Amino acid sequence: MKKERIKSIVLVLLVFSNFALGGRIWINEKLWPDGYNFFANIQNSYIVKAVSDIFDFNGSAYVSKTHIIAPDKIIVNTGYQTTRFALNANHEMFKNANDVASEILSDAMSSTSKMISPITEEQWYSVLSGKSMYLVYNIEYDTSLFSQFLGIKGAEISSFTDRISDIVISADNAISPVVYIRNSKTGSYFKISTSASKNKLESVLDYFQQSFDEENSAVINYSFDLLFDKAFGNQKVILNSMIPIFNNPQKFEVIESANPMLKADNTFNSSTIDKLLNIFDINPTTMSRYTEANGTIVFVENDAILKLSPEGVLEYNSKLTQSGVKLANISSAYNTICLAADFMDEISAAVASNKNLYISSDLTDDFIKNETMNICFDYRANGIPVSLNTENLGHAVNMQIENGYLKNYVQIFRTYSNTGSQAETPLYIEALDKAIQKYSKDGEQLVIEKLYTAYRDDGSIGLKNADWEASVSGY
Amino acid sequence: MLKKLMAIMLVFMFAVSVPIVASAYSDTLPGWVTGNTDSLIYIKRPESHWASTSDKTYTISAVGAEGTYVAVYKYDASSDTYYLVKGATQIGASGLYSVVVDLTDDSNVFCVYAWNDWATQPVQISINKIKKSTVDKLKGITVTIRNFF
Repeated sequence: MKKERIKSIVLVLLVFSNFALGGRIWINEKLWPDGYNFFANIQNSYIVKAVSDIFDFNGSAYVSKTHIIAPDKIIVNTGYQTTRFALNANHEMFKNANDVASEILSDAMSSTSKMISPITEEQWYSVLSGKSMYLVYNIEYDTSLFSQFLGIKGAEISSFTDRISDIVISADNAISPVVYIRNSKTGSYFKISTSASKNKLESVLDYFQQSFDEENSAVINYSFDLLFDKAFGNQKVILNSMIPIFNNPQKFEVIESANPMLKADNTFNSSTIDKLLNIFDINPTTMSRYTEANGTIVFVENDAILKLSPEGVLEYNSKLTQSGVKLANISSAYNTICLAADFMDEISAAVASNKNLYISSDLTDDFIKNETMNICFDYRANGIPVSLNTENLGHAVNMQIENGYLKNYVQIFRTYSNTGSQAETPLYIEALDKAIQKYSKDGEQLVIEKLYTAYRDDGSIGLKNADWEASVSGY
Repeated sequence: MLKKLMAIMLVFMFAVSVPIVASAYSDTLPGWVTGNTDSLIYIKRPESHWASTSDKTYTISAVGAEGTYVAVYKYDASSDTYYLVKGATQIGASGLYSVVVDLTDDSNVFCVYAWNDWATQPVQISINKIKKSTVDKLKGITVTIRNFF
C-alpha cells in the first residue's frame, strides 16, 4: 500500500515536470515562425504581464531597467526649435519620463507588422523638431533582445530592423504616441503606431514647456540642425547627425573618488575578502594564497586565479573550458546579460563600491552570435558617465562569459562623492579640436560618433571634473 | 616700367588692406563693410543666410580654416552701423564654429565677420523673429487642413 502511494506521488511529480519542462521549451525555443508564437502572444498579454510583474518571475526587473535598457539621457523636444531639455539620469524628472517611455515602448514592441512602416530621414528629423522625447542610448541593441528586456517576446519590429540605435517617441499624432526607431548600421528609419495613451507623455512634455525659462535654459541643437553632419570643403570633422550640441559650457559638481577596497589604515578588509571568495566559489580551506611585491593578494584554486590589488582592482581568470563561475544554465543572451549584471551587483555590494553602473558595450547581433560574450559596464556619477582610462583598463567592469561560465572578470572598485563645488566644462568645440589633434593623421577627416559629458577618471584617487568625451569612428 | 607699376600697386594694396585687417576686431563696423575674400568661412546655418524662428535665440554655425578669427556684429539701421555682439573666437583644428545670438522682436540682421592676417570676409545674415502664438496658429492651421483633407 505504502509502495503504491510513493509510486503515485512520483507519477504525479513526473507529470508536472513534463508540463513544466515541455512548456518552457514551447515558449522559449524558436519553434514558431515570426509572428505566430501563440505562447509568446499569451506572455505579452496585459493580464500575464500584470501577474508576472506582481510575482517578478524573471527576478531581473531591477537589473534590466537600471543597467541594461535605461537611456543615458532623455532630450525633451517641446516643438519650438531649440527649446529643448536634456535630462541626465539624476534629473528629478528622469524616472518619470523614463517610466512613461518604457510603457509606450512596451506597447510599440507588441505592435503587429501592420502598424510598422519605414520612413525617410527627413521624416525622422521632422519628428525631432516636433513635440517628442529622444532617448539617447550609450550602446546599440539587437531589436529582439531590446524588446525582451521590455518583457516582449517575438516582437514583429525585429523582422523590419535587427538593430536599434536611437528612439524617438512623438506626441504629434492626434490620438496615440508614435515610436520612431533608427538603425544606424543600415541608415534606415521606422515608425511604429501604438495604442498607448498619450496623456502621460503630454504631461511630461507640458511640464517642461511650462517651466521653460528663456533666460537660463541651455540652448540645445542637434548636429543635423547645424549641418555639422554634412561635409563641406576641407571640413576635418563630421559629427553623427544625432549628437546633441550644447552651445554653452555645462556646470557639474566636482567629485572625489575613493578606493573602497582598503580600510582607513590602507589594509584589506578581511570580511570583504571572505565575501569575494564566496562569490567566486573559491574555498578558503583548499585554496592557496600569496602576496605579490606590490601588495596584490593572489588566491589560487585549481585552474582559477583571483587577484585583489591595493589600487582597488579585482581580476579573476579561469583557464580551463567548462569551468569558472557558473552564471547561467540556459545560455541565451538575455539570461547571460541579466545574470552577469546581477553578479556584478553582488560584487559591488560586497566591496561597498559605487553600484550605479551602466552597460557600455553594444548588445547587437554580433554580440549575441559570439561564443565568448564580452560585456563591459561603467560607473555613473551625478547622472553622467565616468569615463575610465587607466594604464590597463578602459572600463570599470570587463567580463568574458563562455557557455554560461564566467571566464574572466576585471573590476576597478571606486566610490564617488560630491565635494560641494562646481566647475564648468570647456566648450564642445574644444573637445573636437582636441580629438583632431589626437587622432587625425595627415589631415584625414574624422567621424565623431558620440560627444557627451563625462567625468574623467585616470584611476588615481582624488578630485574629478566633468569634461567632453568624443568617441571617434574607427578608434 | 611694368615692374614699377606692379610695385606701386602692391604698396597701394598693402596700405589699403592692413588697416582693414588691423581694424577687424573693433566694436563697430560700417554698414557698407566689405572684405577681400570669400574663402575664410562658410556659413552652414542658416544655409540661405536667412531664417525664421520663434525662439529668443538663434544658433549660427559655420566651418572655416584653422586659425581664422570670427566675431559677430548686429546691424543698427538708424546709424547704418554694425555693433559687436559676440567677441572674437579663433577657429580650431576641427574647423567648426557655432555661436548663439540673442534675437529681438524688431530687425535681426547680423554680420559674421571672419579674418586672418591677410584677408577679411563679412557675411550678412538675417533672422526673422516670429511670435510663438503665430507658430501655434500656423500649427493649428496645418492640423485643420490635414483633417479637412
